[in-house]
Amino acid sequence: MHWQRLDRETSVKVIDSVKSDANAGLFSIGTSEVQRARLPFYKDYFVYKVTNFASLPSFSFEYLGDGTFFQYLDGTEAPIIAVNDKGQLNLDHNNVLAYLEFYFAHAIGEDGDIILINNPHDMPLLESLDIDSYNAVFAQHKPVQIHYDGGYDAYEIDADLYKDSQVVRARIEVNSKGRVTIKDQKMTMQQVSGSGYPEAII
Amino acid sequence: MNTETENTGSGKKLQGAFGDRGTNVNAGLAYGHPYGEEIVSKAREVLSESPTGIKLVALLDQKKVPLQIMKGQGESGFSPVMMSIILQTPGSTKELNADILINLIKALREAAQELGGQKTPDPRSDVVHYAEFIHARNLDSITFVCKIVKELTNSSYFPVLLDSLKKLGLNNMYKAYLDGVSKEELFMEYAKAYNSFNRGSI
Repeated sequence: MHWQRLDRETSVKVIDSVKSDANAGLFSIGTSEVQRARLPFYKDYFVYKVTNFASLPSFSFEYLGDGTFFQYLDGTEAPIIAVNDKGQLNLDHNNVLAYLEFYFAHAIGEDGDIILINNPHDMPLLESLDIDSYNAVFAQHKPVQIHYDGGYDAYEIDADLYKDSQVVRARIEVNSKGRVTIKDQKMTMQQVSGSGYPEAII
Repeated sequence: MNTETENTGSGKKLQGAFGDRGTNVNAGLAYGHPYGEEIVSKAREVLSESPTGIKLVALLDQKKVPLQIMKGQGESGFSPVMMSIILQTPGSTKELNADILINLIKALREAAQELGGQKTPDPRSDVVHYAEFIHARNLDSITFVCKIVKELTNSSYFPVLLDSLKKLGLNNMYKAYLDGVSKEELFMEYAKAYNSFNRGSI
């Protein structure tokens, strides 16, 4: 994602829009910056990130917004669905994969994180695997395949996913309203060792 | 420990039925976690099985350090600026998990250090001194995490804590702690974990 730091005036407007009186310290204008990134699958909505650099750790909060209306990305699919239902989603063959990656990164289910392995050469987190797991991920990786099903107005995507410490080959359906369903999955690697997500606490 | 999981705002502004008279169309943004109270309650229960955990919680109760469980995917930790503990977990999280508990232990220890007189320096005055301080505090608080995890060896929660340490890249540091290595050797393990985080992996 290509983040662009916003100018002071725009940043203040964003912070004023999303700040919470109950957490005023987290949204201090003097110690916060706002970044914005374009999402290829939305018409007028961007992803915004407000980061407070007053101390370490730097607390950050992400939103979907058009500059006036903001949906807080709270780790569920609700804010994404809310924006989709405003008619903002514009899926096509070229951007559906980006949508799916964004969805998995921001809509965390009760079973935890899911990571779509598109290009394993471009995934720094795989470097943390032990050597056997690392080699196995590359050996068994198959490229993502995208198929449009006109009957259901939905995309079917076959892709490798990392979930529950396992690598699975899954068929995922993304319909035109952005609803995501994992229809089928087959384990390709069990108990990937030493793997994890960038949830640094140090 | 004050538990603040609601995001009701202070109510000081004049507000109409649809917010604050149209000046803030996002007034409904909610950050408080719907299961915050249950998560904190369970965390207290688990920590009560550890002698060090009991002391840590008792100290924070006595000093009334605010603890907020927020929806989100950003960083968690103790903020010396706000003198409060902020933990973020996706809104879909319905119960305590090991990642939250480890972040809480680390934050509790850092709060105890701050309250005990080890004040965080101002990064603007001497950034090198600030970095040294942060690393020393990280090493101390992660060592405390290891200590409490060890004390919870007989707890039903122990296996998931071990999994989480592995996921966070701290399993070698935990092994080193169990082996009773010197502080210098422990720091080396911390440094390896830190470098791993900062490559973008775990």
